[in-house]
Amino acid sequence: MKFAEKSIRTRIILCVIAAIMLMGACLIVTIRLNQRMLERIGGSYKTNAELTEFSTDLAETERAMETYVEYHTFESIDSYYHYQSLSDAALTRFQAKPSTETVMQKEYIVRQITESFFTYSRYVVAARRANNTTDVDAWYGKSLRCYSVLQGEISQLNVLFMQKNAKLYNEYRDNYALLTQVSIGFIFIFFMLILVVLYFSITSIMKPLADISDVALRVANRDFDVPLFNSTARGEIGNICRAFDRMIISIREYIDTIWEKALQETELKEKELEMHELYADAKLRALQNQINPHFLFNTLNTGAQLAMMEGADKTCFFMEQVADFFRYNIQQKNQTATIDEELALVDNFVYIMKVRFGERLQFIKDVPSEKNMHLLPRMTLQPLVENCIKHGLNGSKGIVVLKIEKDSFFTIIRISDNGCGFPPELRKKILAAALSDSTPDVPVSGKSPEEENGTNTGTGLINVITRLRLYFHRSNVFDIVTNGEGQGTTFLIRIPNV
Amino acid sequence: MKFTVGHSARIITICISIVMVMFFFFFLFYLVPHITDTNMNESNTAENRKFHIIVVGKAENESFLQQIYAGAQQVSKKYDAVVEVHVPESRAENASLQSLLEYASFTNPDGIIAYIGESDSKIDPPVDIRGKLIPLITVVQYHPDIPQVSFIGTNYSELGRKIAVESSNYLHGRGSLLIINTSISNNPNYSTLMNSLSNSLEEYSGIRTTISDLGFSHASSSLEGNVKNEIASNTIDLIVCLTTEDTIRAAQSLSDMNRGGKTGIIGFGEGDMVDMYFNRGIITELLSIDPQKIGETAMSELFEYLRYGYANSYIAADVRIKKAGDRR
Repeated sequence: MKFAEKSIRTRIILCVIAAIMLMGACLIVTIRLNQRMLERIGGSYKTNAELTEFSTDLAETERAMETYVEYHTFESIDSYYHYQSLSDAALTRFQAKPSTETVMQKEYIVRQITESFFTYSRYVVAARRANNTTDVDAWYGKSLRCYSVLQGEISQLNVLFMQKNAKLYNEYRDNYALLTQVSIGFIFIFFMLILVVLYFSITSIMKPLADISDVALRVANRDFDVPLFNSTARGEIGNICRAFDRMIISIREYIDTIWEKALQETELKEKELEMHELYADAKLRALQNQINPHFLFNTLNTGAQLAMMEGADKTCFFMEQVADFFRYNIQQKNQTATIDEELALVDNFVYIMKVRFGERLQFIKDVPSEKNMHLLPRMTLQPLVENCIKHGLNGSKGIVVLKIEKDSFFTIIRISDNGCGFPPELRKKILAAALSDSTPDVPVSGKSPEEENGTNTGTGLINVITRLRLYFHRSNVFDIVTNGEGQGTTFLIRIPNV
Repeated sequence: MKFTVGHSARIITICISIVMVMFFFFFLFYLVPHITDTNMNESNTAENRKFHIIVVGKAENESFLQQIYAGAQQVSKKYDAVVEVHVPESRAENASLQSLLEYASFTNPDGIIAYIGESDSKIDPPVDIRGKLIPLITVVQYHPDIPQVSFIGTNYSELGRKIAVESSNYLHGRGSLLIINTSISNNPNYSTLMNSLSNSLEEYSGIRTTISDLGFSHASSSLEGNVKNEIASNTIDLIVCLTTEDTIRAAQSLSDMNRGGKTGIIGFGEGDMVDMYFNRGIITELLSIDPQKIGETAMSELFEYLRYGYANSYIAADVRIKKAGDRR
C-alpha cells in the first residue's frame, strides 16, 4: 500500500514520527560528537600519563636489577622480570622506526635506549647468576649509564609530550567551542528544515480536506454550482470526495424536484386565483342582476296571485314557473349544485320556452330514474339548453335532447339539437378561448356582435366550459361534437364518478 | 499534468528533504572532520625512515656540528635516513667525547658522524647492543686509534697555498705580511699548513713576511700585545691567522688600535664572533672548510659503506673563502 493511499491519521503520525526520529538522530549525532570531543580533551595528556607509568616501570626494573646484583634474591629477579615485561609491553607503543617528526623521533630514541638498557641489564643479571664479577662490574656500570641516559631522554620526551599535548589541548578546546557553536547552528537549521518539511507534508496531506472545506462552504452559501471531485483515491479522503459528489448530485436533483413542484403549485394557485376571480366576477354580475330578478320575481308572484284570483290557472302556473326559474338564479348559496338540481332548473326553463315556442320546440329528456347527486358548477346545463333551443330552432321545429348516461368512470351528459351545426373553426376557437380564458373573435351565431345580445356572444358558453374545467381540473370535461353539416350540435359533459 | 497546490507542496517537501540530507552529510562528513581536525602539521607531514644517523661532538664545536648536521640533513631523504645532532647545550656539562659516543651507541644508530678534536684521545669505538661496531665517520681530526670508516678533514698543504694566493691578491703582489703562529708546535697538520704557506709566499718577492711565532702556552693578552707591537713598530698591511682564536684576537687588536680597514686580516675558522668582525669589515677575508659539504660527504661515505661495505678512508674537505665583498 502506497503512502498516499494510507489514512490521513496514519500519514500524519508517520510524518511526525519521521520528524521526531530525524530530530532525535540529529541530536544524538551532535551529542555524540561533543562527547567525542570531550573525550579527546580528557585524553590530551594521556601520553604523559602513559610515559610516567612507563618510566615508573623502568625505575622498578632498574631497582630490581640493582637489588639482584647486590643481594641475589629470588624476589628481586622475579620483580626484575615482572617490571621488564611490563615495560617491554609498553615499549611496543613507541615509535619503531626513525621519524622526521621531533616527538616521534624522540620516542624512537627512547625505545632504542630502553632496548639497550634491557640488553645490558640482562647481561648484568646473567653475569650475576653466573657469579662472574668482572662481567657484572662491566655491564652493571654500562647499564646504569644507559639508564641514566634513558631517564634524561624520557624527561625530554615527557616535556615534548607536554608541549605537544598542551598545544593539542588548546586546539581541542577551541575546536570544542567551535563545534558547539556549529552544532547549535546545525540543530537549529536542521530543525527548521524538518519543521518546513513537516508543514509542507501536512499541507499536502490536508490539501484535499481544504478543497472539500471550500466546496462545503460554497454549498453552505447555497452555491450548488460546484465542481465534482471525481476522486479515485482510496482512504477516507476518497470516500469523503465520493460521498460529497453523491450529496451534491442528490441536492441538485432534490432542488430540481422542488422547483418542479413549486412551479406546479404556482400554476395551480394561479388557476385557483383565476377561478376565484371568475367566481367573484360572476357573483358581482349576479348581485347586479339580482335587483331586476327580485323585482321581476316579486312582480311575477303578484301576477300569479292576480291570475289565480281571476281564475286564469294556466297563466298562474306559467308565472309560478318563471318565478321559480328566477328564484334559482337568485338563491345561489353555493357555487355548486347537483345534477338533479340543474335538471329541475332546465325543466323550468324548457316550460317557459315551450309556452313561448309552442309546438315548434320539442324537448326530450332521457335521464336515469335514480338520483343524480354528482356535483357540478351551478348554471351549467341551463345555458347549454338555452343555446341548443336558440340555435336549434331554424324556423322549423327544433328538437333538443338531454341525455344522461353512466359508465364505470364517468357520468356523461349529452345536450344536443338538430340545428345547423357548429362550424369547426368556431368550435376550435371557443375551446381554445376557454383554455386561455378569453372571448372568441367570431360570435357563436355567426352574427355581428351588435346583432347579438349579451347571452348570444359565446361568453356564456366559454364561461360554462371554463368553470367546468376549473372545477374538475380536466381539460376534456367538456366537448362540442358536430353531428355534421345541418345535423345539429351535441354538448358533451363528462363528470368523473369519483 | 495538472499542477496543483498539493503537487507543489510535495515537490517542495522532496526538495527540502534532499537539501536536509545533503546538509546532514555536509555537516557530518565535511564540517565536523574539518573542525575536529587538529593542525598538527608536523605530525601530518612526518614520515618514517629506514636509517638513523647521529652527529655527535662537544659543545665548543656546536656551531660547526650544526652546519655538518644541516648538510647531512639536506641529503637525508635521498638515503631514507633521519639525521640527529647530539651536542651538549653548554660546555658546563663537560661531557667527554667518549660519553657522547656512548650515548650514540645506546641509540643503536646505523651510523655516527663525530667531530673529534686534537685533545680527544683513548676513545673506545662505539658498538651496538649486539656488540657490533657502529660505522663511524670522523671529521676535522683524524684519530688513528679509532676504527673509523672515513675521515673528512682539511688538506692543509692545499690550504697553505690558498692562503698565500689570497694574501698576494689582497696585497697586489707587494706589501708587508704578518703571520700569527700560535698553534701546537708538534701538531703535524699545523706544521704542514705553515710549511705550505711559507713556501708559497716565497714565490712572491714583493711581499715581506713576518711570522709572529708564539707558543701554545702564551696567554691571549700576550698575543694581543705582541700583535699590537708588531703593527706599531712595522708597517703591516695584512695579518694572516691560521686558527679561529687567532683570527678573533687579531681582529680585537686592530679594533682597539682603530686600524680596522687599514690593515687587512685573512682569517681562518667559523663562529659567531668571527662572523661579527667579518661583517664589521675588520676581517677582510675568511677561509674555512665547508661544514655543510662535509655533512653531505659524510652521509655519502656512510651509505656507501652501509651498502657496499667499503668507503674512502680519507676525504679532503673543500675550503670556502668569504671576502669582504660577499658580505650581506
